[in-house]
Amino acid sequence: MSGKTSAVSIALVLALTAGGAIAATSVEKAIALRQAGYKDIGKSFKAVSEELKKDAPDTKLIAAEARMIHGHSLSIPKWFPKGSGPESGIKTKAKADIWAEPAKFADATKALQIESKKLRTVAGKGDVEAIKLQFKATGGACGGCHTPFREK
Amino acid sequence: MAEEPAPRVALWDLPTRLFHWSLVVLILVAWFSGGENMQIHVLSGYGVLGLLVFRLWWGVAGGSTSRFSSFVKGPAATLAYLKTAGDRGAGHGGGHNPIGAWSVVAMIAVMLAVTVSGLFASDIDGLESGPLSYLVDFDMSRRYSEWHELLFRALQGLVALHLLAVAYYWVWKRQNLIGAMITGKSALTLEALRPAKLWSLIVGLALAVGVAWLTAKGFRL
Repeated sequence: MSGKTSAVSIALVLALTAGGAIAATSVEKAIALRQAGYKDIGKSFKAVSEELKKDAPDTKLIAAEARMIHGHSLSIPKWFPKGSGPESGIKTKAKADIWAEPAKFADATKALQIESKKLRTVAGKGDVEAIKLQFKATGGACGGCHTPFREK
Repeated sequence: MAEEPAPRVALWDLPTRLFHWSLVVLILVAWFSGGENMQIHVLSGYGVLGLLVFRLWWGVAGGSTSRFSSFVKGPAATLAYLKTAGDRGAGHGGGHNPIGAWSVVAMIAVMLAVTVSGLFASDIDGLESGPLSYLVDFDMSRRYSEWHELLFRALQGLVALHLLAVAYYWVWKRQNLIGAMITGKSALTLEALRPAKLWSLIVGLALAVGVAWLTAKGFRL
Protein backbone atom coordinates (compact mmCIF):
# COMPACT_ATOMS: atom_id res chain seq x y z
CA MET A 1 0.00 0.00 0.00
CA SER A 2 1.38 3.36 -1.02
CA GLY A 3 1.62 6.29 1.33
CA LYS A 4 -1.09 8.06 -0.62
CA THR A 5 -3.70 5.31 -0.41
CA SER A 6 -3.05 4.79 3.28
CA ALA A 7 -3.54 8.50 3.89
CA VAL A 8 -6.83 8.35 1.97
CA SER A 9 -8.03 5.31 3.89
CA ILE A 10 -7.10 6.91 7.20
CA ALA A 11 -9.05 10.00 6.23
CA LEU A 12 -11.97 7.80 5.17
CA VAL A 13 -11.96 5.91 8.46
CA LEU A 14 -11.78 9.17 10.39
CA ALA A 15 -14.67 10.63 8.39
CA LEU A 16 -16.80 7.51 8.94
CA THR A 17 -16.08 7.45 12.65
CA ALA A 18 -16.89 11.12 12.94
CA GLY A 19 -20.14 10.56 11.03
CA GLY A 20 -21.06 7.74 13.35
CA ALA A 21 -20.24 9.85 16.37
CA ILE A 22 -22.41 12.67 15.10
CA ALA A 23 -25.30 10.24 14.49
CA ALA A 24 -24.89 8.81 17.99
CA THR A 25 -24.90 12.25 19.57
CA SER A 26 -28.02 13.31 17.69
CA VAL A 27 -29.86 10.20 18.91
CA GLU A 28 -28.54 10.83 22.39
CA LYS A 29 -29.68 14.42 22.15
CA ALA A 30 -33.14 13.40 20.95
CA ILE A 31 -33.54 11.00 23.87
CA ALA A 32 -32.28 13.57 26.37
CA LEU A 33 -34.60 16.18 24.88
CA ARG A 34 -37.70 14.03 25.17
CA GLN A 35 -36.81 12.85 28.64
CA ALA A 36 -36.43 16.46 29.74
CA GLY A 37 -39.72 17.26 28.02
CA TYR A 38 -41.59 14.48 29.77
CA LYS A 39 -40.03 15.46 33.07
CA ASP A 40 -41.35 18.98 32.53
CA ILE A 41 -44.79 17.56 31.82
CA GLY A 42 -44.53 15.50 35.01
CA LYS A 43 -43.57 18.63 36.94
CA SER A 44 -46.60 20.46 35.61
CA PHE A 45 -48.89 17.53 36.40
CA LYS A 46 -47.53 17.36 39.92
CA ALA A 47 -48.11 21.10 40.35
CA VAL A 48 -51.71 20.82 39.11
CA SER A 49 -52.53 17.74 41.19
CA GLU A 50 -51.11 19.38 44.33
CA GLU A 51 -52.94 22.63 43.64
CA LEU A 52 -56.19 20.66 43.31
CA LYS A 53 -55.64 19.15 46.77
CA LYS A 54 -55.89 22.59 48.35
CA ASP A 55 -59.14 23.97 49.68
CA ALA A 56 -59.03 26.92 47.31
CA PRO A 57 -56.95 25.97 44.26
CA ASP A 58 -55.37 28.75 42.26
CA THR A 59 -57.01 28.17 38.88
CA LYS A 60 -54.70 30.69 37.17
CA LEU A 61 -51.70 28.62 38.20
CA ILE A 62 -53.44 25.51 36.86
CA ALA A 63 -54.21 27.25 33.58
CA ALA A 64 -50.54 28.25 33.25
CA GLU A 65 -49.38 24.68 33.89
CA ALA A 66 -51.98 23.36 31.43
CA ARG A 67 -50.59 25.73 28.81
CA MET A 68 -47.11 24.26 29.45
CA ILE A 69 -48.43 20.72 29.16
CA HIS A 70 -50.25 21.53 25.94
CA GLY A 71 -47.16 23.23 24.54
CA HIS A 72 -45.03 20.17 25.25
CA SER A 73 -47.67 17.85 23.85
CA LEU A 74 -47.35 19.63 20.51
CA SER A 75 -43.62 18.81 20.46
CA ILE A 76 -44.08 15.08 21.14
CA PRO A 77 -44.12 14.12 17.43
CA LYS A 78 -40.62 15.63 17.13
CA TRP A 79 -39.32 13.75 20.17
CA PHE A 80 -39.16 10.31 18.58
CA PRO A 81 -36.83 10.39 15.54
CA LYS A 82 -36.13 7.01 13.94
CA GLY A 83 -33.31 5.21 15.70
CA SER A 84 -34.02 6.67 19.12
CA GLY A 85 -35.78 3.56 20.38
CA PRO A 86 -34.38 0.62 22.32
CA GLU A 87 -32.14 -0.23 19.34
CA SER A 88 -30.09 2.90 20.09
CA GLY A 89 -28.47 1.10 23.01
CA ILE A 90 -29.14 4.16 25.15
CA LYS A 91 -31.26 3.76 28.25
CA THR A 92 -34.80 4.60 27.22
CA LYS A 93 -38.25 3.42 28.21
CA ALA A 94 -39.59 4.07 24.71
CA LYS A 95 -40.83 0.82 23.20
CA ALA A 96 -40.11 -0.18 19.61
CA ASP A 97 -43.90 -0.25 19.06
CA ILE A 98 -43.80 3.55 18.76
CA TRP A 99 -42.12 3.17 15.37
CA ALA A 100 -43.87 -0.10 14.52
CA GLU A 101 -47.33 1.40 14.98
CA PRO A 102 -46.92 5.07 14.06
CA ALA A 103 -50.63 5.70 13.47
CA LYS A 104 -51.59 4.37 16.88
CA PHE A 105 -48.83 6.41 18.48
CA ALA A 106 -49.94 9.53 16.64
CA ASP A 107 -53.52 9.02 17.87
CA ALA A 108 -52.31 8.63 21.44
CA THR A 109 -50.27 11.83 21.12
CA LYS A 110 -53.25 13.64 19.62
CA ALA A 111 -55.35 12.59 22.63
CA LEU A 112 -53.00 14.41 25.01
CA GLN A 113 -52.95 17.46 22.76
CA ILE A 114 -56.75 17.60 22.76
CA GLU A 115 -57.23 16.91 26.48
CA SER A 116 -54.50 19.29 27.63
CA LYS A 117 -55.97 22.03 25.44
CA LYS A 118 -59.36 21.40 27.07
CA LEU A 119 -57.70 21.53 30.48
CA ARG A 120 -56.27 24.92 29.62
CA THR A 121 -59.69 26.18 28.52
CA VAL A 122 -61.51 24.74 31.54
CA ALA A 123 -58.90 26.11 33.94
CA GLY A 124 -59.31 29.54 32.36
CA LYS A 125 -63.00 29.45 33.35
CA GLY A 126 -62.10 28.76 36.98
CA ASP A 127 -64.63 26.01 37.86
CA VAL A 128 -62.64 23.76 40.20
CA GLU A 129 -64.91 20.71 39.87
CA ALA A 130 -64.76 20.90 36.08
CA ILE A 131 -60.97 21.27 36.29
CA LYS A 132 -60.74 18.14 38.44
CA LEU A 133 -62.73 16.16 35.88
CA GLN A 134 -60.67 17.45 32.96
CA PHE A 135 -57.45 16.82 34.89
CA LYS A 136 -58.47 13.18 35.19
CA ALA A 137 -59.21 13.04 31.47
CA THR A 138 -55.80 14.57 30.72
CA GLY A 139 -54.11 12.06 33.02
CA GLY A 140 -56.04 9.34 31.21
CA ALA A 141 -54.49 10.55 27.95
CA CYS A 142 -51.02 10.06 29.49
CA GLY A 143 -51.90 6.53 30.45
CA GLY A 144 -53.43 5.90 27.03
CA CYS A 145 -49.96 6.27 25.55
CA HIS A 146 -47.76 5.10 28.41
CA THR A 147 -49.48 1.75 28.85
CA PRO A 148 -48.82 0.54 25.29
CA PHE A 149 -45.68 2.51 24.45
CA ARG A 150 -43.57 2.90 27.60
CA GLU A 151 -41.61 0.22 29.41
CA LYS A 152 -42.54 -0.18 33.04
CA MET B 1 -51.13 -39.59 82.34
CA ALA B 2 -52.46 -36.34 81.01
CA GLU B 3 -50.72 -33.28 82.24
CA GLU B 4 -52.73 -30.60 83.92
CA PRO B 5 -52.85 -27.79 81.36
CA ALA B 6 -51.13 -24.69 82.64
CA PRO B 7 -53.55 -21.84 83.31
CA ARG B 8 -53.56 -19.29 80.54
CA VAL B 9 -52.58 -15.87 81.75
CA ALA B 10 -53.21 -12.49 80.12
CA LEU B 11 -50.29 -11.51 77.90
CA TRP B 12 -51.32 -9.01 75.20
CA ASP B 13 -53.88 -6.29 75.81
CA LEU B 14 -56.68 -5.71 73.33
CA PRO B 15 -55.20 -2.51 71.78
CA THR B 16 -51.94 -4.34 71.01
CA ARG B 17 -53.79 -7.22 69.35
CA LEU B 18 -56.06 -4.88 67.39
CA PHE B 19 -52.96 -2.94 66.32
CA HIS B 20 -51.29 -6.11 65.11
CA TRP B 21 -54.17 -7.49 63.05
CA SER B 22 -55.31 -4.15 61.64
CA LEU B 23 -51.75 -3.59 60.54
CA VAL B 24 -51.71 -6.97 58.77
CA VAL B 25 -54.88 -6.07 56.89
CA LEU B 26 -53.82 -2.51 56.03
CA ILE B 27 -50.33 -3.50 54.86
CA LEU B 28 -51.88 -6.11 52.57
CA VAL B 29 -54.38 -3.56 51.24
CA ALA B 30 -51.59 -1.03 50.70
CA TRP B 31 -49.45 -3.64 48.97
CA PHE B 32 -52.10 -4.72 46.49
CA SER B 33 -53.54 -1.27 45.84
CA GLY B 34 -50.09 0.30 45.23
CA GLY B 35 -49.85 1.37 41.60
CA GLU B 36 -53.35 -0.01 40.96
CA ASN B 37 -55.76 2.07 42.98
CA MET B 38 -53.92 5.01 44.44
CA GLN B 39 -56.94 6.39 46.29
CA ILE B 40 -57.18 3.21 48.36
CA HIS B 41 -53.38 3.00 48.60
CA VAL B 42 -53.14 6.48 50.10
CA LEU B 43 -56.03 5.85 52.51
CA SER B 44 -54.50 2.62 53.76
CA GLY B 45 -51.24 4.53 54.19
CA TYR B 46 -52.95 7.02 56.52
CA GLY B 47 -54.33 4.04 58.43
CA VAL B 48 -50.86 2.51 58.77
CA LEU B 49 -49.45 5.85 59.89
CA GLY B 50 -52.13 6.18 62.57
CA LEU B 51 -51.48 2.64 63.78
CA LEU B 52 -47.74 3.25 63.99
CA VAL B 53 -48.21 6.47 65.93
CA PHE B 54 -50.49 4.60 68.29
CA ARG B 55 -47.97 1.78 68.71
CA LEU B 56 -45.16 4.21 69.51
CA TRP B 57 -47.31 5.78 72.19
CA TRP B 58 -48.35 2.34 73.44
CA GLY B 59 -44.69 1.42 73.60
CA VAL B 60 -44.17 4.00 76.33
CA ALA B 61 -47.62 4.26 77.90
CA GLY B 62 -49.40 1.01 77.01
CA GLY B 63 -49.86 -2.31 78.76
CA SER B 64 -46.71 -3.63 80.45
CA THR B 65 -45.91 -6.30 77.81
CA SER B 66 -46.16 -3.78 74.97
CA ARG B 67 -43.75 -1.28 76.44
CA PHE B 68 -40.38 -1.05 74.71
CA SER B 69 -38.66 -0.81 78.10
CA SER B 70 -40.10 -4.21 79.04
CA PHE B 71 -38.96 -6.14 75.99
CA VAL B 72 -36.07 -4.38 74.25
CA LYS B 73 -32.91 -5.91 75.70
CA GLY B 74 -29.23 -5.09 75.31
CA PRO B 75 -26.69 -7.11 73.33
CA ALA B 76 -25.71 -9.36 76.25
CA ALA B 77 -29.26 -10.58 76.92
CA THR B 78 -29.91 -10.89 73.20
CA LEU B 79 -26.80 -13.02 72.69
CA ALA B 80 -27.63 -15.14 75.73
CA TYR B 81 -31.10 -15.78 74.31
CA LEU B 82 -29.66 -16.52 70.88
CA LYS B 83 -27.64 -19.36 72.39
CA THR B 84 -30.82 -21.03 73.66
CA ALA B 85 -32.81 -20.36 70.48
CA GLY B 86 -32.11 -23.84 69.12
CA ASP B 87 -33.42 -25.62 72.22
CA ARG B 88 -36.71 -27.42 71.93
CA GLY B 89 -39.53 -26.26 74.12
CA ALA B 90 -40.38 -22.75 75.08
CA GLY B 91 -37.29 -21.18 76.57
CA HIS B 92 -38.77 -17.81 77.16
CA GLY B 93 -41.84 -16.68 79.04
CA GLY B 94 -44.64 -15.21 76.98
CA GLY B 95 -44.14 -11.92 75.30
CA HIS B 96 -41.43 -10.75 72.94
CA ASN B 97 -38.20 -12.66 73.32
CA PRO B 98 -35.02 -10.56 72.99
CA ILE B 99 -34.57 -11.38 69.29
CA GLY B 100 -38.26 -10.92 68.54
CA ALA B 101 -37.96 -7.56 70.25
CA TRP B 102 -35.37 -6.39 67.72
CA SER B 103 -37.54 -7.73 64.94
CA VAL B 104 -40.45 -5.65 66.28
CA VAL B 105 -38.27 -2.54 66.50
CA ALA B 106 -36.94 -3.12 62.97
CA MET B 107 -40.40 -3.68 61.51
CA ILE B 108 -41.80 -0.57 63.16
CA ALA B 109 -38.82 1.52 62.00
CA VAL B 110 -39.01 0.27 58.41
CA MET B 111 -42.80 0.65 58.29
CA LEU B 112 -42.42 4.23 59.48
CA ALA B 113 -39.81 4.87 56.80
CA VAL B 114 -42.00 3.28 54.11
CA THR B 115 -44.98 5.37 55.18
CA VAL B 116 -43.10 8.64 55.49
CA SER B 117 -41.35 8.20 52.14
CA GLY B 118 -44.76 7.56 50.59
CA LEU B 119 -46.04 10.88 51.90
CA PHE B 120 -43.49 12.74 49.75
CA ALA B 121 -43.61 10.42 46.73
CA SER B 122 -45.00 11.08 43.29
CA ASP B 123 -45.60 8.76 40.36
CA ILE B 124 -43.58 9.11 37.18
CA ASP B 125 -46.30 11.19 35.47
CA GLY B 126 -46.90 13.52 38.40
CA LEU B 127 -50.53 12.39 38.46
CA GLU B 128 -50.59 10.79 41.89
CA SER B 129 -48.62 12.08 44.81
CA GLY B 130 -48.48 11.89 48.57
CA PRO B 131 -50.00 14.60 50.75
CA LEU B 132 -46.60 16.16 51.50
CA SER B 133 -45.11 15.94 48.00
CA TYR B 134 -45.91 19.62 47.53
CA LEU B 135 -43.03 20.34 49.92
CA VAL B 136 -40.45 18.87 47.53
CA ASP B 137 -39.82 19.22 43.81
CA PHE B 138 -40.63 16.60 41.18
CA ASP B 139 -37.13 15.05 41.09
CA MET B 140 -37.06 14.73 44.86
CA SER B 141 -40.54 13.22 44.98
CA ARG B 142 -39.45 10.66 42.39
CA ARG B 143 -36.52 9.76 44.63
CA TYR B 144 -38.91 9.34 47.54
CA SER B 145 -40.90 6.98 45.33
CA GLU B 146 -37.82 4.86 44.73
CA TRP B 147 -37.09 4.73 48.46
CA HIS B 148 -40.75 3.95 49.13
CA GLU B 149 -40.51 0.85 46.91
CA LEU B 150 -37.07 -0.18 48.12
CA LEU B 151 -38.04 0.14 51.77
CA PHE B 152 -41.18 -1.87 51.11
CA ARG B 153 -38.98 -4.70 49.78
CA ALA B 154 -37.03 -4.49 53.02
CA LEU B 155 -40.28 -4.68 54.95
CA GLN B 156 -41.33 -7.75 52.98
CA GLY B 157 -38.05 -9.36 53.99
CA LEU B 158 -38.60 -8.54 57.66
CA VAL B 159 -42.17 -9.84 57.57
CA ALA B 160 -41.01 -13.05 55.89
CA LEU B 161 -38.47 -13.45 58.69
CA HIS B 162 -41.18 -12.77 61.26
CA LEU B 163 -43.46 -15.45 59.74
CA LEU B 164 -40.57 -17.93 59.60
CA ALA B 165 -39.84 -17.28 63.26
CA VAL B 166 -43.50 -17.83 64.18
CA ALA B 167 -43.48 -21.10 62.23
CA TYR B 168 -40.23 -22.14 63.91
CA TYR B 169 -41.72 -21.56 67.34
CA TRP B 170 -44.79 -23.51 66.33
CA VAL B 171 -42.98 -26.53 64.95
CA TRP B 172 -39.74 -26.67 66.90
CA LYS B 173 -40.64 -25.11 70.20
CA ARG B 174 -44.31 -26.15 70.27
CA GLN B 175 -45.30 -22.63 71.13
CA ASN B 176 -48.39 -21.12 69.53
CA LEU B 177 -47.63 -17.45 69.12
CA ILE B 178 -50.55 -16.81 66.78
CA GLY B 179 -53.13 -17.99 69.31
CA ALA B 180 -51.67 -15.68 71.93
CA MET B 181 -51.89 -12.73 69.56
CA ILE B 182 -55.57 -13.57 68.93
CA THR B 183 -56.83 -14.43 72.43
CA GLY B 184 -54.30 -12.32 74.28
CA LYS B 185 -53.57 -15.21 76.64
CA SER B 186 -50.68 -17.58 76.96
CA ALA B 187 -49.92 -20.48 79.27
CA LEU B 188 -46.29 -19.44 79.28
CA THR B 189 -46.76 -16.01 80.68
CA LEU B 190 -44.34 -15.56 83.54
CA GLU B 191 -45.33 -12.10 84.48
CA ALA B 192 -48.96 -11.26 83.83
CA LEU B 193 -49.88 -8.23 81.81
CA ARG B 194 -50.40 -5.06 83.78
CA PRO B 195 -52.95 -3.23 81.66
CA ALA B 196 -52.69 0.44 80.82
CA LYS B 197 -55.05 3.08 82.11
CA LEU B 198 -58.03 4.15 80.03
CA TRP B 199 -56.75 7.72 79.70
CA SER B 200 -53.60 6.40 78.07
CA LEU B 201 -55.68 4.58 75.47
CA ILE B 202 -57.68 7.73 74.79
CA VAL B 203 -54.53 9.85 74.41
CA GLY B 204 -53.03 7.22 72.09
CA LEU B 205 -56.11 7.12 69.89
CA ALA B 206 -56.31 10.92 69.77
CA LEU B 207 -52.63 11.10 68.78
CA ALA B 208 -53.07 8.46 66.08
CA VAL B 209 -56.15 10.06 64.55
CA GLY B 210 -54.69 13.55 64.91
CA VAL B 211 -51.41 12.78 63.16
CA ALA B 212 -53.09 10.78 60.37
CA TRP B 213 -55.65 13.53 59.80
CA LEU B 214 -53.12 16.36 59.80
CA THR B 215 -50.91 14.41 57.41
CA ALA B 216 -53.80 13.71 55.06
CA LYS B 217 -54.45 17.47 55.02
CA GLY B 218 -50.79 18.00 54.19
CA PHE B 219 -50.42 19.97 57.45
CA ARG B 220 -52.42 22.74 55.81
CA LEU B 221 -54.83 24.02 58.41
